[in-house]
Amino acid sequence: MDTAYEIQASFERGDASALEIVRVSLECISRLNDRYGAFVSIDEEGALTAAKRLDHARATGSHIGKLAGVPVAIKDNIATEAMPTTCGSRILREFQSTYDAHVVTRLVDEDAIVVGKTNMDEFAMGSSTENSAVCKTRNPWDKQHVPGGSSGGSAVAVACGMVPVALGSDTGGSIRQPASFCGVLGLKPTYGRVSRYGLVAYGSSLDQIGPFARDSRDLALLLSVIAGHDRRDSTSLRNARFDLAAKQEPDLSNVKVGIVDDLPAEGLDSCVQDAVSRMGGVVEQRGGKRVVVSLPHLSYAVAAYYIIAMAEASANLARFDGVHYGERYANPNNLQELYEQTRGTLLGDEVKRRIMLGTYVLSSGYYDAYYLQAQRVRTIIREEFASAFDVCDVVLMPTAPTPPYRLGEKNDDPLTMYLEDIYTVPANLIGACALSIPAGFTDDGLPIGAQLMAAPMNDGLLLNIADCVEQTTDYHKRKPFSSAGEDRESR
Amino acid sequence: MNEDVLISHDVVRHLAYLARLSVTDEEVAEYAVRLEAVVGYMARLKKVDVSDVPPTAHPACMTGVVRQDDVKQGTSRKAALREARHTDGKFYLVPKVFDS
Repeated sequence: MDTAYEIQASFERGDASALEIVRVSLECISRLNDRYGAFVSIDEEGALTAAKRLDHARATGSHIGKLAGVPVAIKDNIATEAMPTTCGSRILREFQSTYDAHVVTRLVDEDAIVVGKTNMDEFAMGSSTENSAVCKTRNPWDKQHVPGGSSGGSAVAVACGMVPVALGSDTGGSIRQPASFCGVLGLKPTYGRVSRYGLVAYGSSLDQIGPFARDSRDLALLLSVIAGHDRRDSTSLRNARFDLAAKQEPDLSNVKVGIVDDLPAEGLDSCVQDAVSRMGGVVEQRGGKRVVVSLPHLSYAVAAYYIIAMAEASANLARFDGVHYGERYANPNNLQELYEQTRGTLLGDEVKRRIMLGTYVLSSGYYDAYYLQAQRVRTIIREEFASAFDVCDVVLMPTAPTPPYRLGEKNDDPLTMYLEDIYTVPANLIGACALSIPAGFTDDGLPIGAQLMAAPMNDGLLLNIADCVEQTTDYHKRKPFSSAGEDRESR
Repeated sequence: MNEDVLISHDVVRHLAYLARLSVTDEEVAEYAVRLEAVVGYMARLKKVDVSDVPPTAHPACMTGVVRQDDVKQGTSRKAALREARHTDGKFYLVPKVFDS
């Protein structure tokens, strides 16, 4: 499937009808979804109806939106009226929202066509999409490997060409890491830039919705549609708008790229390290300058992040009590049993662990030692990044310490999986924007991503650098399949 | 690298009670091991000198958001009750809390 830009342009020119475009997307989904498990809901009827309406609008000379005819996929923790919003959980198995999330309304306002909802780790808690109660999602570059997570379904949908663009959510790397594992681009925008209205909350001071795409132009296009102030989200920034016209020249001669000299390298795969160094070279080739920065407390980021995320999760997930919505334990003897059995039997293991850990760090006697301490360390990390951004414009780091790993390989040990988030969680802790771009492949042909991180509100700079990189490298153009439907057999 | 933290079965049961989660005996044993490992790792933060460092609760420096209290149509009762499993059409139904 073409890029969103190309699709919109060909629709606007009249070279393709919305119906034709949507049928190509739906056909691709029906051919590949059983194998890769990207989608958990597909709204064929709704998509075809929207396409017909759009074709009619064009025929009658009505205004055509920035995403006219573009099929999009939405992570299943973003509320949609037309389809269930399961969050990958049994407790919301048949939950149907009574309203659309702000981002969904924005996409539809610009004439995008929502084709379906994508698989995820339950309530976005995980880094491999293996924690979904709905189905298994596989990496299109090798079916025996994980797609990353928690927005694994959205990353796979874009990598497979089922849709040109998709939305995910990123609390500690859940857009960037699956983008890295699936060989596509993923952006976590600045905190407050995209309204969280209609996003099922996990860690409210960390959560942010963002786009997946196969090039930086599409990523910028999507951001320009979803970014903007929304009074229904009280953390929405006043100056949240992202204007495509403000895009800078593809010249990096004034850009300083920070290389972290004390980067925690425990568990960092050498092939990832090499790919990130090469990416630094590419930026330099385009005129950028490398400078050394120091982030001495980065090694504490994972501990601080998980304390804060779990504390916020334990409060946010209290709403799933079986009373107001979702599934409910059938025959409780009393109210306490209704709550405990509903939650105990319908929430998955990882979700229950995080709720209990969040309860622990907030409980009497431990609050100061864990939760308050984590918030103070968060301040230190924020100040260190602020100093780094005094001498550089962006920090270049790996997205994940390893290439995609095998299904089941890390599922037994939650702590090991948490440690993999070392390079992505800082952006969430400080509210910065960060982007994962394809940066190479392993000898086995699995994708590797590099991460660029910038101070809040510099999303445009990240997209500009990605644009320059794409003019020098072709990693983003490679596809997991040689041609439609001919995917590589797993080894 | 990790501190030894002891999470007893009683602590797990108490956390499960606070969080309103039913747990089996096997789960209690398993959670105790898992939670100990994670909390042991988190305890490394105690090594950081945070004297005079204020806590950050939120990444954006924000003040309270205020707006005019304009009256608008909110979620209808019908919509609010639609996804609940037990209602009488007007209210959510739960097991009796007080004996009459």
